[in-house]
Amino acid sequence: MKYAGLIYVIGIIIASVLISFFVASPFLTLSLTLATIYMGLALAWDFSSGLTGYMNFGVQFFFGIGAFFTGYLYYAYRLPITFTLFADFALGFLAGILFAIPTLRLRGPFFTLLSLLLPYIAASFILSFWTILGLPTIGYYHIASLASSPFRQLVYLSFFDAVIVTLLYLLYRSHFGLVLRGIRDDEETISNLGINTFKFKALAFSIATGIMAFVGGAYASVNTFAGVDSFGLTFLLFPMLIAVVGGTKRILGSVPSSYLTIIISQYLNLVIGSATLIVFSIIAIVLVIITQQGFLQAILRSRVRAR
Amino acid sequence: MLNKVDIDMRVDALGLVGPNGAGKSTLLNIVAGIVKPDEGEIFFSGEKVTGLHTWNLVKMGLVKTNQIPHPFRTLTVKENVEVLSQRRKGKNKGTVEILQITGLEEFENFYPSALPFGYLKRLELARALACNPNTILLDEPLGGLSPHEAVSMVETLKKLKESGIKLVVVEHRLSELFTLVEEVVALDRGVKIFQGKPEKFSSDPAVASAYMG
Amino acid sequence: MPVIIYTVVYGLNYALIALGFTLVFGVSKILNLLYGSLYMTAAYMVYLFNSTLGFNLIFSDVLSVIITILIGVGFFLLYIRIARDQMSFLMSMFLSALLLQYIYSYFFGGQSGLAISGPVTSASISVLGVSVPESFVVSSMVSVVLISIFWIWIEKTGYGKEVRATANDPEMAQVFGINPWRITLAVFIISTFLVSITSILIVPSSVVTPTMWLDPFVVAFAVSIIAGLGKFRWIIPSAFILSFSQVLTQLILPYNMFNIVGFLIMIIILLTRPVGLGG
Repeated sequence: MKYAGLIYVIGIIIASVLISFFVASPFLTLSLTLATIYMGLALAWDFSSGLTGYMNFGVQFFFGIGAFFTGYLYYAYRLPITFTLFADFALGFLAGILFAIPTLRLRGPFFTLLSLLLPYIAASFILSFWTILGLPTIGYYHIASLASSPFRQLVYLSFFDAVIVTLLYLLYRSHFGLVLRGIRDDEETISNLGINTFKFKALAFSIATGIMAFVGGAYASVNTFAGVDSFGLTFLLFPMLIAVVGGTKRILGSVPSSYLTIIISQYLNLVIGSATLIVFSIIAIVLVIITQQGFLQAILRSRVRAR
Repeated sequence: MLNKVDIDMRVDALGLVGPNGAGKSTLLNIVAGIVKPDEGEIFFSGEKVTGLHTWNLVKMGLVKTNQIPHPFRTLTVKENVEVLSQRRKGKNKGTVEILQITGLEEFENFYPSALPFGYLKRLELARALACNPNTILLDEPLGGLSPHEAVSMVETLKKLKESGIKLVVVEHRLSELFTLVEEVVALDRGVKIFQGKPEKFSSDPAVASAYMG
Repeated sequence: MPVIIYTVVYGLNYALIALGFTLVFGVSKILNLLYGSLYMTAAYMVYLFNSTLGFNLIFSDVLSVIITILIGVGFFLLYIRIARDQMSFLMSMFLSALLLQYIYSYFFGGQSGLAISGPVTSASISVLGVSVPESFVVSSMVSVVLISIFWIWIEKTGYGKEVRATANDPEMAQVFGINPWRITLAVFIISTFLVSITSILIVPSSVVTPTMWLDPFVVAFAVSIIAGLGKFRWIIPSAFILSFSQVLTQLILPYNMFNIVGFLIMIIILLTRPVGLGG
């Protein structure tokens, strides 16, 4: 079956929701919820960075502005969360385009470094901007929760993730995705053969950043606040790690990989506290070095033809 | 380094020849929009196209193949062609048809690394066709092919010519080339030294001195 | 007047920070993502040896420089050998910077800053009526001295010529018996040495935190971009451009917008004159 891989990972998502329901452990539910957040980011990151080869180190910027935008819309206008989430996507998409237009014509490493700088300037800028608008200077907003119970939150977020992975996978399998793979393979040649590579890269990037902002908004409503921490680097480290474990450029692998990675990190956190970050950074480095494909892919491949 | 080369193409297939370093590939690259000329103008279908980017030229129907094949290694043969199609409305040659014309159908799910060299050259041609061109610039399409493969390639090119696609072919293998083209332009060290029918080529004195030294 | 003094003093400091970074990129085209982390490492090492272990300050400084160089070169050699393509090289360098951040955060405590002493006091002195930390003044002078030395070294000496040859055309340089790999390594070591010295001089006026690695990196990157990567004679003017615009922005616009200015200038330069002012 052509889309067996997609069905399979959606099954994994559904399974995780069911497991949460039956096990009914708050800790597990929280971990799974966190996993869904990171999954969305990992999928988006993989789609834009892995597929185009233009690595986006600014994940946390788009994530953060999504969080803040939701915060702002809720604080100022009391808009319902579902609406703000779509507004977040639009904002992230727009911001992505704005960033991409000047930077995509630069070589890969420069693009990556500039994307890294985005969150660096964002935090102070947004806080100042918020002050100008007369909003609380601290930058923490209390936002209505996404749903009435942690389990319901998990359901909503899992649903969003299922939508995201479907959307991105279909794009990946479409002509659009094929062109992106061609660009990653040999940008100069495909450009000489008439493809406007800039348009494709910009679109892929902005779709991804829109999703990141969307996830940021969702996270803000799960935590019921948005703050400077929304720009933290863990929102880059974990998605990157998840994508690498799941197999960069493969999209689907990020789904099981995020559950695996986040749950392990949550339990590890209980045992060794913040040294977990050290462990995971090392794992990430080792994985990046050892393999471009990700070892989970090997497991996936033996079960289903996910390509 | 090209020096004031002036060529007006009025035939269906033009051959571009000359010793190594004459500037043939450079000329193709300039026409194809890959390299910008320091001076001079290029006209395509009556329009001035100098300095336009390749993708504009491809939209107008002008495509160039590479002397050394550069297939997309992570895509299958079929994907190599597909990635370029579907971009224009109207009469597109389908991927299947293109693979048939270039004799690649049996290999459609192979990766380029599995293909022998001759087939990689065909893949270059197939990709050019996927852009739905009305003119193809070919940089040594017969280079590295066995005599048998070369004949086969020329046959394919003839069919393309008959279907209405104009060809500009840079080649060293003159005997095969002359069966294909109606006119030949020779360059030597950046200067045009001959333009005329293939039959007149070998007897031309300028040509003789360029090749013999 | 304060504008001028701040522009000059901060500018020279920025130039010093940028020197090592642009050296590596100019010669080997390597974007050293660990640059800021090494700056941070030197500072933490000083804290470790001087404040925690109680060693003599100068001894701690020397030790920290050595350790920082070892760490930097260690990572460099590892990834240069192992990384298969640019993407994995970048990723591993970046992840290593994160790793260092997490390590320092774990062992030295989180966000609250630590203080270290420097060879020069951080007390403020008055320069033409403007109050500036003395260590900044000293580092400014060190900056001028070092950059001049490098300029002369690169332009005039034999070894400097080899470095330039490698930068311009590594393959050609090999023909002449120059080993580009050794030059790359040597330049990296020098760069790390420079960034450690810079850190030792400048950081005592502020605090040491695990996230401090981004600031020097951004400064180094920005100045290098504006100057044109590897263009030494433009480092100081570019640094002045950066510091001047920051000072101006802080005066005119309220709040903390000055980070953006550097970012915007970089983008403008990359778009309009990508080779930098000196290109």
